[in-house]
Amino acid sequence: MRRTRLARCSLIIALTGISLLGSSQSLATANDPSPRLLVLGIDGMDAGVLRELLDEGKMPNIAHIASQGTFVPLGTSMPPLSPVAWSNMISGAEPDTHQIYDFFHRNPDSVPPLPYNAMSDVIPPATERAIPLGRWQIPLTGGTQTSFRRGPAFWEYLVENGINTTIYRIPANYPPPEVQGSGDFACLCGMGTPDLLGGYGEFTFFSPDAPLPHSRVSGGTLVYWFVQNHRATGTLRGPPNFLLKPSKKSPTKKLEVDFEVIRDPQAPVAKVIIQDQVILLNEGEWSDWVPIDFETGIPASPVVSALQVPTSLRAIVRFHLRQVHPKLEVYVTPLNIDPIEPANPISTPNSFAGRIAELSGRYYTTGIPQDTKALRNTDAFNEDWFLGQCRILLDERIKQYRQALEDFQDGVLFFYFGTVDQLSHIFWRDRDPEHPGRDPEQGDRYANVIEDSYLEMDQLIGEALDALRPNDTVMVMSDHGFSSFRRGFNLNTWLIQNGYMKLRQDIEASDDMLFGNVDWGQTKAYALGLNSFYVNLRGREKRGIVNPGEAYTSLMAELVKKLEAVRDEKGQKVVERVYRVDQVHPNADPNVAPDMMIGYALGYRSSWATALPEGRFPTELFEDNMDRWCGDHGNAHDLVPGILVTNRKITNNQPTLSDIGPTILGLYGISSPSEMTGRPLFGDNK
Amino acid sequence: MNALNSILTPIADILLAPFGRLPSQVALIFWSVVVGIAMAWVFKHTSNQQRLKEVASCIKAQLLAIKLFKDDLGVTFRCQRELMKATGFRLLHSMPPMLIMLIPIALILTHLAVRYEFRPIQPDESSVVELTLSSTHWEANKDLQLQVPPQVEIETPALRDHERHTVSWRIRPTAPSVTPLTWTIADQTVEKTLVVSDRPGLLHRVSPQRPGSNIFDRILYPTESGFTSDSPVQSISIQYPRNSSPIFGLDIPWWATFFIVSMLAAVATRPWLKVQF
Repeated sequence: MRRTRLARCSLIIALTGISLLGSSQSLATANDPSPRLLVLGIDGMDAGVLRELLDEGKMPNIAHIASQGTFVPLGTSMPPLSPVAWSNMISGAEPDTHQIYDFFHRNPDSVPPLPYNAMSDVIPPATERAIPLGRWQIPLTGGTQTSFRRGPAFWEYLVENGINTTIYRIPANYPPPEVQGSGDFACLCGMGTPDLLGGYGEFTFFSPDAPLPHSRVSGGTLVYWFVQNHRATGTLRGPPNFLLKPSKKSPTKKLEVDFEVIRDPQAPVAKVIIQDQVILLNEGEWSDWVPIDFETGIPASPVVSALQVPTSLRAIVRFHLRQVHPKLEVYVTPLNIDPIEPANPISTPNSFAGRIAELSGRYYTTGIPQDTKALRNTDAFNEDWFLGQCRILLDERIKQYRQALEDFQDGVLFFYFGTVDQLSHIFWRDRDPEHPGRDPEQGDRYANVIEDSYLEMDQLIGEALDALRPNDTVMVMSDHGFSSFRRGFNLNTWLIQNGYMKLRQDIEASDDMLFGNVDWGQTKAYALGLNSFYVNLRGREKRGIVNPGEAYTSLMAELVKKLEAVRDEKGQKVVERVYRVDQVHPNADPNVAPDMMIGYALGYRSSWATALPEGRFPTELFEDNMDRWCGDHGNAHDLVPGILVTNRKITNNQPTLSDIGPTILGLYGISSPSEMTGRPLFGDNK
Repeated sequence: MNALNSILTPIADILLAPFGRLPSQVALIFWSVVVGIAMAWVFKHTSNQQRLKEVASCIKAQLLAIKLFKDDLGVTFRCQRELMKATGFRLLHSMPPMLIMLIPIALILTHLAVRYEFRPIQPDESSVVELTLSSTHWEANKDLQLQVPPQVEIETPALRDHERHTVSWRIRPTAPSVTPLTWTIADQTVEKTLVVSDRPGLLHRVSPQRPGSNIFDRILYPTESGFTSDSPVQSISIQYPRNSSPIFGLDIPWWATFFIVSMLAAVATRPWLKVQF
């Protein structure tokens, strides 16, 4: 009897213990799930515009987050350009840590100083190390991708400390980083990811009106095609055939894929036939993603493939049937890397890009997919076409965003949206009555495009709020704000007029030459890039003439004074402030960094001839910006702050981008490394 | 060929019917095993087994000799010559059964192809339908209309290609169904079956083409009767997406799975069937 009672008691105690243990575990799960951090990066969301919309009550979800925590302007980088700004965020530090100062840097060892992509480089397989096989060759090394961003990245420390981290398209992060640690890491590359040709993305536009045989414009190629019997054939040009030995006759033979377009004699419909795929499109329609294989044509390709040498390169494109009658016109997107079968890695792990595609379909993989260049550089496209392309892109991203929220179980999720930025670049003039480029015929037709994009972002933020738990942290941030780009300043022309730059021939002879007309033996300074300004320094630049030391510093002091004093015809300030890199970024790499950065006044930016690697010298100092690219942010950085909205209170009322990385680490109790100069914003409020 | 197809198609349907609710790979593996065993049996009864056994013994002997006299180059070379000769004989004696099995295997493959090469269109997925007219009927019928059931939308007007005598449409089904697309030409109604499914992993009979009078097309697309040579319609095709039937996570083509599994099955049943390959 006693035994039975003892056994019964033991059983009850054991069962109670087990049930208590079980209940305490489930309690822990229910009440203390691991806190998550969601960071939404909205490129180009402007603090002023957001404040207006909040005041009008149009952004309920952002208002809700702000009411729980904080909404403040977020100090941006100098220069306030996306590659620089996002690098500040990633590294928790200023440009003299990550060494990215513009979209383009220049090579001081070349004459003239040639520009190159500041974020990354893609090098095809080396032909010097290859096994020759007749007219073919088997490269012994693959192509390489290099990131120029230096310094730490906040995710390295998260993963090292066991925090699962997923990053969607943070800019200035190509090639995909390898990260060591006990946390899971997945990352899809964003701005800086090249197309299959290794560049920012080149569209192709086929038209019977294009110049014969073709014409290069910035960002693409216009190709003439002959339409006979309602059919036309076109060719998509890929990268060089890396398995074919270059010959004297054709040193860079490119891979090609032909396609045919057939239209109905009367109806506005056409058929694209490419590599056994048939796509039927109504006039004005876009195709889905079409995978195409650039075949190298090497014999016995299965054997070569078995040696792990690719014998074809896969790209994906979308066709847009611009017009059927009277002119058959077809636009083809840049050759995007196929996420399912990537020719170059675009994600970590390599399968991550494909997994996203399997769940939500193929998608744009180039870094900046909105084709502003086709809109700006061809007459065939208009704003409605561009908005249509942006819609397709945003719909792709929204699908991925929803999937990412669904998959978000713990750790950190960063998701990037670039639509607000690109729409602001193109449609800012429609909200600026004083912009000289406004089209009277369009009136206010596009006046609400930017506002609508803000409202859509707010709706998407609302979806995130629905998916989050009470103890989760959400941060909505942007890298910079915006301002109207009404006028361009021809900085190199100013240098010529003020005797700092000399040309070999008359200024009119300088068009279409990349500094080819510059007399470097008599040139003290030059401008290249959106905000970058270089001194032709002896010992650093190939043909440098300005001596280091006193001559260098006094020249810079002189230039700062003169540039800040520049006024336009109406007496308005053109340059708000000139930043000397040796003063604001003392650890800058002199072979990479500019000597000075020009912070333009509101309404101004460097002119097109100065900003992009054209090296042209217009005769006038100032020009009205009549380009469709009408909003920008190449100003003094305090004029175009970004935004920070979070459901937590912050301890610093003047946060900057470089505080974000340390803040993310601080949330998980991780101390920032010494290279991170930013400070956690939540203080003890962990 | 139409008559043969009309017999074989229902037989294939009946044989595959038990697998209708299972992943399509199950039927492929099952029938690969069955075909492999059947091939071994046919091989046994249509080949000279006695001679093949002698050849196999000879090969064994030569291999043993090479092993034993590996230091004697003369013997090694002579054995290798004999090995090559024996292999040739083995091939020669394998020819009659292979020729006998060629046609049945080809027919089996074509019936498997319409179930494994393509997958059905999924609801809300677009596809292109193309009808080819004969050149003599082109002018009179090029403005023909496609008639679709309510669950299928036509997304484009007809695209008439005067050079290839084809008329194309883009369609988008909105719900799963196996339904005919119809056209009326010269008082005749012609049809092409459209297969739409939201469960593409199951077994479906998906024929991308209703063929014309070409014999090879009729062999390749056996499930719908071919048009006669004097028919105004020469063929009708639907662009179905390529199928993927991964086995144990490996995305190998269905025909490779078929050959590998059937050969393994044939080799595995060799001791019971007492067959010499």
